[in-house]
Amino acid sequence: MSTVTKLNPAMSGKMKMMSFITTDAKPLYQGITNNTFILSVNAKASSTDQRIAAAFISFLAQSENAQAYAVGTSQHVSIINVDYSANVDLLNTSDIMGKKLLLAPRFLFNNVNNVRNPLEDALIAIAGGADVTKTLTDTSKTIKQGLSS
Amino acid sequence: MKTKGLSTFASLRAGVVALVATALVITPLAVAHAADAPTFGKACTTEGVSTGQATTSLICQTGSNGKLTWQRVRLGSTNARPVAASSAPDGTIEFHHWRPEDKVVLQGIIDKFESANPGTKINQVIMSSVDYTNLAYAKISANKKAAVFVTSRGGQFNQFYNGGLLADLSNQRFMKQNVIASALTPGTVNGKLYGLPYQSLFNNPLYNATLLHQLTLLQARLQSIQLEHSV
Repeated sequence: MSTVTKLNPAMSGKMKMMSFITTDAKPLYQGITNNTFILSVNAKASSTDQRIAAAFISFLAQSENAQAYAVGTSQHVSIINVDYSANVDLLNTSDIMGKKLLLAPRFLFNNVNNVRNPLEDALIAIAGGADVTKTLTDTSKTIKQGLSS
Repeated sequence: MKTKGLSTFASLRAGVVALVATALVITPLAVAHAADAPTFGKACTTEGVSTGQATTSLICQTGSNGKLTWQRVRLGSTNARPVAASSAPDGTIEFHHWRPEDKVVLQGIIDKFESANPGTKINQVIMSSVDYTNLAYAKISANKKAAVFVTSRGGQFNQFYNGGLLADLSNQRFMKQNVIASALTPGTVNGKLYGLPYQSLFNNPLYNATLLHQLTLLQARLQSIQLEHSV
């Protein structure tokens, strides 16, 4: 969102997030979530340094500090008792956190080269107008060949 | 869905007041929420939706009568309230991450931490996201002073876990009492907590809600004009 408001400041306060629902039935998920900032303590650090590290993460997990981070960087956080009202864009889009979300499947493939990449290429081709059945049939062969080689 | 969060409606109302004072065009965003103000014990329509990520928030769940009602949300892994930060021993460590755009805000929090723990120092070591993806494991595994670091879900987190670099944080009370439990999944292996997924990103498209609201009003007006003329 901060990228959008940098490009067009007039968008501030007007943004919401959209769910792409492609079925008339009850949807399994309403959105995708992703975590790229998972805080950890280095198990190979000295015990004193590990205690400093854990204390620092516990400090980041205080609601007032998490709120300062969220509001200052325009990102939603996972900490309890955080209030987004100081950042109108976070406030207006925070209802996404109450929806059924799937952890980014694109980044959870175990085999990137032989499975994820051909599948992504197929989806891009289909979105670009390629024949669905032919594309998936060909991709299926490519994946099987890649896995058996 | 008991642990999902979104801003409190009290906050939303506070936000509305601020918004109305600055720009009337923003009102439609808040009106959508105000029409459905949740009240404890009252009926709700969308299961799993909650009013915020505060210990006082409500969540829409099926009650004992089988109907959807607003109930108290339990956000953490336990019912216990969030705990205060632990104190740190003296020393200096490095905090490795990949977000230069967050440097200033994080430094403000680090300054507060250092004031609360005189004798303790934390230095940010920041790489670009591409470099971090490719080099972080090699650099951190060879640097014991890199005592705090971040990883991304999936491959990178697994790489650090398999390399024995992730300390078990399961016994840290803040992990269970300060963090929304549902957010812990990407940092959990076999029920043990090895990381705190601090921020959440959403790969949903953004849209201009003000414009969409105006278009909806315009469409409704056009339809009513058409109806008037067809009578």
